[in-house]
This record gives sequence, structure tokens and C-alpha cells, in this order.
Amino acid sequence: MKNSLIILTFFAIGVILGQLGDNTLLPAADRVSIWVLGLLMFLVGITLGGDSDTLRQLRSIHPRLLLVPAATIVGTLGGAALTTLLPGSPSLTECLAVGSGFGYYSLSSVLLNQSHGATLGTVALVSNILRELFTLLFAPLLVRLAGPLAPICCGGATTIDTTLPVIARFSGKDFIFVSIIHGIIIDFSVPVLVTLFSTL
Amino acid sequence: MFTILTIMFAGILCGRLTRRYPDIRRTAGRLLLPVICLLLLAMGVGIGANTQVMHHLSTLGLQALIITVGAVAGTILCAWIVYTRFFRAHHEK
Repeated sequence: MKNSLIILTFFAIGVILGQLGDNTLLPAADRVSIWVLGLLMFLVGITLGGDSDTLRQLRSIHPRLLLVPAATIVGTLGGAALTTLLPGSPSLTECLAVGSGFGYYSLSSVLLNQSHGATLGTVALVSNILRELFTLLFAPLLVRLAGPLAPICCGGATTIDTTLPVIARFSGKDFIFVSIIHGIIIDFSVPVLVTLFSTL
Repeated sequence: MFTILTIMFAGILCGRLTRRYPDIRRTAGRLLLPVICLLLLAMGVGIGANTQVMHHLSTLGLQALIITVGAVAGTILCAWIVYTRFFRAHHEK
């Protein structure tokens, strides 16, 4: 939660700078962000690849557990696809690309900012922040309505970090492992799916 | 965009090869937050300077909300199906 606030503060400072500043900042910001995005992806890769515990856990998990991230992906993409039918909504692939952020707002918004411009980048940022917030706020209600997997699937990519504490608290200790495995798989699928839908 | 994915896979490979040196992984993990902050700062500048986005902020917010509601509703439905079909019996034992 603290990290989310720090990240959002930097974003807000950026928006204010952008509004105040003359537009000479803009090309510089664009150029910087491509390089920094590359660096970010490299670092994410190192943390994923270097974690031998994670890889060992992934190899030994029960196939049943894979149904949880599958439910997240199918449900999210299905639901996001339906929203394209509403008047004024973005196109199907844009809705799918925004949905594919699975709450990982920093990464998905930056990726879409690069490929589709600031408009869709902003939609992805707000949409995925809302998803994380919704999970944090409504985890107890979700457990009661749809069972202990509901906040895990709802949390998407955040179930390995920011939403893990509320999941542990409301879904129960038995679901911590499920939540972590789910978070790793969804984390990994964010750049893959966002890239896929933004190139379609 | 595929360049970005290639860079991530290169990172995974480097991570695998340097597994014996946990310091590298730890440093990479520690660098993540400042790098994300820098990215969002740059993105904020881009959005703040983009008058089109700033003028349509409420429309964009509404679109974002609608996509989230759809995605979350579909997800809850699928989570419920998977739980009642495949998990409940094991969990309540």
C-alpha cells in the first residue's frame, strides 16, 4: 500500500509538471520512458528468473491450482470484451488490452502508453488502479458472495504483493500459497497479453 | 512491443544464470520501485502535457470504470465456478 502511494505521488508530480511545463519536456519524457521501460522489464526478468524457489514451487504444484489463474484470465477477458458493446467504449482489442493489466497498473499503463498513446494509457492506469482498490476494499464481501477464490482472482497480478495480506486475512491461511502461485502466473501473463492485444 | 518481451526474457535468462549470486536478484528487486516511479513520473509528464487527455479526463475515467466492472464481474463468476466445482470438496474436508 505504501509503495502504491509513492508510485501515485510520482505520477501526480509528473502530471503537474506536464501541465505547468512548456512542451519541450514531452519528447524528453517519451525518450526516457522507452529506455526505462526496457530496464524495468530486464529487472522484472532477473527477479523472476533468479528466484529458484519460485521455479521449484511452480514445477511441483497441483494442476488444480492452475485453474485459479485460468479463471482470472478467462473471466477478465470475457467481462472486458463485453464492455466494448456499450456505446462510446474503446474497441474490442483495446478493452482486452486494458483488462489484461490484471491490476498491474504501472506496467500495463506504460506499455499501452507506448503502443496506443496517452489516452489508452490513462484508461489502463485508472482501470487497473480501480481493480486493486476494489479487491482491497471488498475482499470480505467477495469471500462471502463467491468463495475464498474470488478475491484472489479479482486481485489479479497483485495477489503476490499488495493484496496478499487481505487475502490471507479473509480467504484464510490455506489460500496464501494459491494466492502467490496465482500472482506469479498472472504477473508473467501481463506483458505477454498486453503486448498481444496491442499488436492485434 | 515484442522488443520489450525479448528484454524480459533476456532478464529471466540472466537471472537463471546468476542464480548463485542472490545479491544480484536482491539489487534488481530493490531497483524496481525507483524505476517504476521514474516511469510513472515520465508518463505523468506525457499525460499532463497532453491537452486532449486532460480535457477528457472524466470520459476516460468512466471508460476505465466500465472496463473494470466488466472484468471484475467476469472474474468473480469464474472464480465462483472454479471454487464450487473443484475446490469446495477439498477445502471443507
